[in-house]
Amino acid sequence: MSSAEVALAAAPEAKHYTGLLDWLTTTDHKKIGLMYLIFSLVNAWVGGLFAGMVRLRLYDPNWNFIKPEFFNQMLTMHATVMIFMVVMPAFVGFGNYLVPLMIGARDMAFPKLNAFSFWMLIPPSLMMYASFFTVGGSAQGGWWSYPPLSGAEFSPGAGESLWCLAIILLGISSIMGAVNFLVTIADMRAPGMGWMQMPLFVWATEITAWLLLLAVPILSGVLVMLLSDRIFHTGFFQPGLGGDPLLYQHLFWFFGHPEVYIMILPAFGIMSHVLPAFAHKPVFGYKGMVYALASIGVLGFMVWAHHMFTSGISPEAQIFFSTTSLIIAVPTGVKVYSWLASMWGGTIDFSAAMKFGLGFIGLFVIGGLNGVVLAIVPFDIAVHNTYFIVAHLHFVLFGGSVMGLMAATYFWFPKMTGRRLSEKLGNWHFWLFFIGFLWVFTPMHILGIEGMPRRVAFYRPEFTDLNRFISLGFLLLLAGGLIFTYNVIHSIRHGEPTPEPDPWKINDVQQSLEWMVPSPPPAWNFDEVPVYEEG
Amino acid sequence: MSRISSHPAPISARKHRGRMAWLLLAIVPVMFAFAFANIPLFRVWCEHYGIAVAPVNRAATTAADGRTLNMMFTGEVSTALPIQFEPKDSLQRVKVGERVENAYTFFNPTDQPIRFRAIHAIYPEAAAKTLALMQCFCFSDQELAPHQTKTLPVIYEVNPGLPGTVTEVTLNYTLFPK
Repeated sequence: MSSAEVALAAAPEAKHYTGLLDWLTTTDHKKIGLMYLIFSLVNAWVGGLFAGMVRLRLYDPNWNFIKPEFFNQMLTMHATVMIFMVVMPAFVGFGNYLVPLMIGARDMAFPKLNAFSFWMLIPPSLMMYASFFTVGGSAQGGWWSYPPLSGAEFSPGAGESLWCLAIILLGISSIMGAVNFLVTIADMRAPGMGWMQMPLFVWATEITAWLLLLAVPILSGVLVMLLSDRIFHTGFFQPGLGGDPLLYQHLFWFFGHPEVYIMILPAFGIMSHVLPAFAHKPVFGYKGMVYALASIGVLGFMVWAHHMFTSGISPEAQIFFSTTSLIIAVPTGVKVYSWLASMWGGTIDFSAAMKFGLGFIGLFVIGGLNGVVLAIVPFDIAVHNTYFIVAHLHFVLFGGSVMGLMAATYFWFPKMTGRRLSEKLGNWHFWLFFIGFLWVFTPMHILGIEGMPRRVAFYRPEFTDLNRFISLGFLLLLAGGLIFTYNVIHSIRHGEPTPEPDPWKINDVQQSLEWMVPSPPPAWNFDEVPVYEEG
Repeated sequence: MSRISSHPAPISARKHRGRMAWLLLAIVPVMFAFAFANIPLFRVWCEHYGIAVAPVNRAATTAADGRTLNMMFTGEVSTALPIQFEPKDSLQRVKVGERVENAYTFFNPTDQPIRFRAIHAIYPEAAAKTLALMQCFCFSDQELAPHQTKTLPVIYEVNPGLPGTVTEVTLNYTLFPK
């Protein structure tokens, strides 16, 4: 039986709805992927506005219409939303859309499970937002939620408990998604496509899925303990009952550091497509890129206590974790050099996607380098809990992950919709984001070294000027976000049509399967199962 | 590189995929359990490395009857004295009234003999009067031959007069050239 007949035989099982019902019941990886991306965009606005509230309060701490308690809620929820409801689902969205196309599959291995993973995001997200309306408001203990601050004594409201529960539920979605990706990649590659022929974005998704599968259950476990301490007054983290709050930090960061790589590895994968594409060259050092991804994934589990240098760990442990953290710079450096080599000597097309790609390299390298500096214990102790850390994490998470997501959006939007995003608006978007980003986050290094503590709604008077400067820069990011959102909504209907399979004219060198099917791809992706042949 | 052909779809793979998914899902309860396994593992680790977080807490509950505490041992060398030294146990759990022994190991890495005197200090001050040193290398001058390693005992006892609020006492030595 040919694959076309298989498709026809399977087709009648599925009921065909149209319009909204179709989207609500779909198991098509492309539609689910798009829903993930829309979910992320909506939440990015909420999380972004939370950041705006934080910056508004810090513009002038005497303006008391944003109370310190509310500031703490905004701070906590900004991070929570951006991490769990924007960056992670956005990468899963791109993964969902692109991985089956890139490996020559018709769908994910478990399409219904895939739909379940997406819809599983909605209840915990609503729970998160609903927690604002409980007595005492949402969680205020930061996205790391350390006890005793997050314990029943200091966070008595329901907000913190809802937060724990919502994160556990979001974790179930991530775990199901990860299993689906791992089986899809292992078992559904086109005939002839070996592991070392997979596109690098697929590799990045593979490693990320492993990290999710191994790290997220740890977070679930530790949050179950925290919830139990809060509700049943057990003593997992309560010294008076023989528990230990430091154990929470260890377990949280044993999840938390792989989580950092969960949020950056897919962006690495995206860069390995975007940068060579617009330099019209094949990617440099494919094998090195794969090994670098894998070793970052493994090392990611061996560095967690570098978040805890001031938490009373022994000097031997400090040396160990400092060393492993420094070693991560090696595979990361391999990737950066390979991207540069991929562009070297190419004819570079400065499209919006490429601009975001180049912006990614610049900003991520700064974030990575001040990460190397932070891995050095004495320096970390000096700037721990200051704005230097805020600067560092935003350089990698915004300068890295978000810039990567933007590059991916401009790059694959024509594939997903059959229309191109406006390059002119994309240009405005890029420069507003790039300048706005540097405007907001560069001065935070100075504030940190001068000793401004993070997470606090007040500061000493000498920090006023820089804080006002930073808060004004937020407006540039806001404008960039508005332009981007308008561009997406407008271009879906009115963008330049790109029905051809390869609208960027790159696949003669890129040679990736998603550029061989029409844009947008038909429901079954490939009329017949493609066979991958070298050469 | 890739061409379209009528290769049959791997239909029989469905069972295989299900098995693979269950295997992968089996990792989830293992990692979940690993989080809980860390509760005892963490205590063992801390006790091994003398990070006294958990034991201190037990002391806090038994300190109500006032009679168990942590003795911490530290040391430093005054300027330009090239001796390396460290306690055998940096932390000891002791009962009030019990006679306990610890030791410090000294090493002279130079080619010259070194004479030195150890000066002790006890923190907190409230404990200073009730900590009795029975035997101590600080009672007299000491000498180390070139490259010599020497282990010298400290025998001490905490008297019952120790204020109930004190649960941790630090005994620190500073070495001075003689």
